[in-house]
This record gives sequence, structure tokens and C-alpha cells, in this order.
Amino acid sequence: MIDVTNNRLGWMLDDALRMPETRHGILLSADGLLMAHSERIDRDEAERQAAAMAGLQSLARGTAEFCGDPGTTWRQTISEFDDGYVFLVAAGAGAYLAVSASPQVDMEAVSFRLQELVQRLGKELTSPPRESRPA
Amino acid sequence: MDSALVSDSRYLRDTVQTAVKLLIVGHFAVGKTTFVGTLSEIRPLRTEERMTQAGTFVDDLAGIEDKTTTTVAMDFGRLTLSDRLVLYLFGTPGQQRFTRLWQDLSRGALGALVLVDTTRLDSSFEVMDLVERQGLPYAVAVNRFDGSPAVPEAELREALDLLPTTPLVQCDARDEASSLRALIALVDHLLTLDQEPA
Ligand SMILES: Nc1nc2c(ncn2[C@@H]2O[C@H](COP(=O)(O)OP(=O)(O)OP(=O)(O)O)[C@@H](O)[C@H]2O)c(=O)[nH]1
Ligand SMILES: [Mg+2]
Repeated sequence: MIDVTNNRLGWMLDDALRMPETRHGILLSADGLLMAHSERIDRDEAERQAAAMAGLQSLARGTAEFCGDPGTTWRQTISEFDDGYVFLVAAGAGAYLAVSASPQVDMEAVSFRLQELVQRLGKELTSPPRESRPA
Repeated sequence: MDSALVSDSRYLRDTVQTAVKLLIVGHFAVGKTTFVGTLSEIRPLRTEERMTQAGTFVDDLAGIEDKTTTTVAMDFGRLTLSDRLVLYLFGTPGQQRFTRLWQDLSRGALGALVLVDTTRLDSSFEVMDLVERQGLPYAVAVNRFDGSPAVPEAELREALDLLPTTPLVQCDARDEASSLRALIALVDHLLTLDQEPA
């Protein structure tokens, strides 16, 4: 179990979502399991979205050849809806970050913020929170 | 509710929980989506699309003519077996054209439940081959369709070339109790393998 006071990943998502017009954020493992989620999305929904994002990433990567070399690196997938956007980006080895936002969001600012967050998450993920009790 | 790490004790009961990822696999229209929907305790993730005429000669619907949709990416559901064990079920498309997605979704999975249909046993070879090449431990569940022949277990084992230790069970993907039994057969199998010295 992870110490409640060490819940930095969820906190970092909320921190990043303090920018205007953003909605939810989740962090997921490449195999589709939820690692952390922001405040206003509940766990069931976040887990379902985590699975969907892993599928989306896989399918997106499958379209690389449509663009160029089949081995070209996938960077992000942006989905646009009447109600807004979903950004899905790589967040270090074996993790992805997804954030949703309203149609009014400043896309460039979000992209910048996500890259920033990915860097912070990267540090956090390579030094996992201390266990609250010995394993 | 607050933002949370999934392993955060505020949202889970006091005991340590283990998340186990399992694949639900099988050929086209064998009942994977039905199976995940039957067992999931949360609203399942579905990626169903209406089948189009483009698939008429590719995806064989003989015997299940009332099927109107097919899974284009994946199914997902969650089942809490006990305070300690949470199963994450990933249903994957059966058609060859989705192999790459299939391989990606199998990342991190501990095992697979292979659904088979006795009227179309030969359609299962391809997917069993995929599972074996991924090195995934698996159990086989015969999803009984109305009118499908009852094939004796020994014959099934031979037809599918199963190891004597591979669990083989019957289920109806629409029925919760029998579907649960099939899944537990897989989980038990994984636990047994886990205890065997490598
Ligand atoms: N009689 C009977 N029908 C079933 C059973 N399981 C599924 N069905 C029906 O068979 C059809 C196919 O089931 P799906 O769950 O869509 O199969 P699938 O494997 O997800 O199909 P694809 O994703 O397209 O490969 C549906 O119309 C189900 O209602 C079963 O155990 N018995
Ligand atoms: Mg399906």
C-alpha cells in the first residue's frame, strides 16, 4: 500500500489541471491499467478510460505507416469532439498521460503543460513513493 | 472524491489488493464481448461497430445471423473476486486483421481464457497459436451455443491439442455463474503454475 501522504501522482495531475478549461487527467500503464487519476473522475470511469486509452494508443501506432516509416515514434494522439478534446501523450517508459479539455482550451498551452507534467512524472515514476510499511 | 493513486488505501479496503490482467480471446463471434459484459461489475468498455457489407465474405456469420455488431478494438471489464484480488478483463478482437492490437493488449497479462465453439473448432487454431506464441498460460472454455454439438472432453482435447494440465471447462457466456466458473478455472490454473518451481 502506498502512503496517503505520498500520493504525489494524483496530486500532480490535479495541479496540472488547474489551468483553465481542462477537465480530467489520468495516468495509465502501457498495458492499460490505471495508475492515478484526478479529483473529479471516479475510479470506475478512470479505469475504463485507462483501458480505452491503451487501445487508442495501440491503434494510433498502427497507423504510423500511413504517415511514413512504420517504425516512426508515436508522440501523441488528440481526439476532437463537439464537447472538447482528449490529449493522449507518452509519459516515460511504459506510461501514458491523458487529459481532457473543453473546446475553448488553449491547445498550445495544454501541450506545453503536458510536456512539463510528463517531465515531472518521469522523475516521480523512476523514484516510486516510499512504502508505508515494510514489504 | 479526491484524486488518487489507484493503490491508495483510502479507496480500497484495508487489505493489499492484487490487480490481475487477463485476456478473453477467441475467434470471431465466439462470445467474448458477451462474456466480459456478463462478468464485469462496472459498465464495460465496448468498441462495437455495425458490421458492414465489406465483411460479408471475411467474417463468417453462419449460425449467428442475428449478430449485427463486431468489436473493432477491445472489451474491458473489472471483476473484484475478493478483498485481495481484482481481475481486469481485456477482450480482444478475434480477426486476423487485428493481430497487432492483440499483441499490444496482451502486455502485462498473466493469462488468457480462450473461448471456443464446438461447431467451429478449426476457427480456434489461429487464436490458440497466437496465445501460445505470446507464451501466455491459458484455459479453454467451450461457449455452448444452442444447437452446437456436445463434443466429449477427450475429443476436444485432442482436436485442440491441449496439454493434460490445461483446464477445459464449459460455459454459457450469457450466464454469470458458468462464466465465473470458467474464469476461476483460469485463475486457479495461474495460481498452480505460480507455485510450481520454474
Ligand atoms: N446461444 C448462445 N449465444 C451466445 C452465447 N454467447 C454469445 N452469444 C451470442 O452470440 C453472438 C456473438 O457474441 P459476441 O459476444 O458479440 O461475440 P464476440 O466474440 O465478442 O464477437 P467479435 O467481437 O465480433 O469477434 C451474440 O449475438 C450473442 O448474443 C452463448 O453462450 N450461447
Ligand atoms: Mg466482441
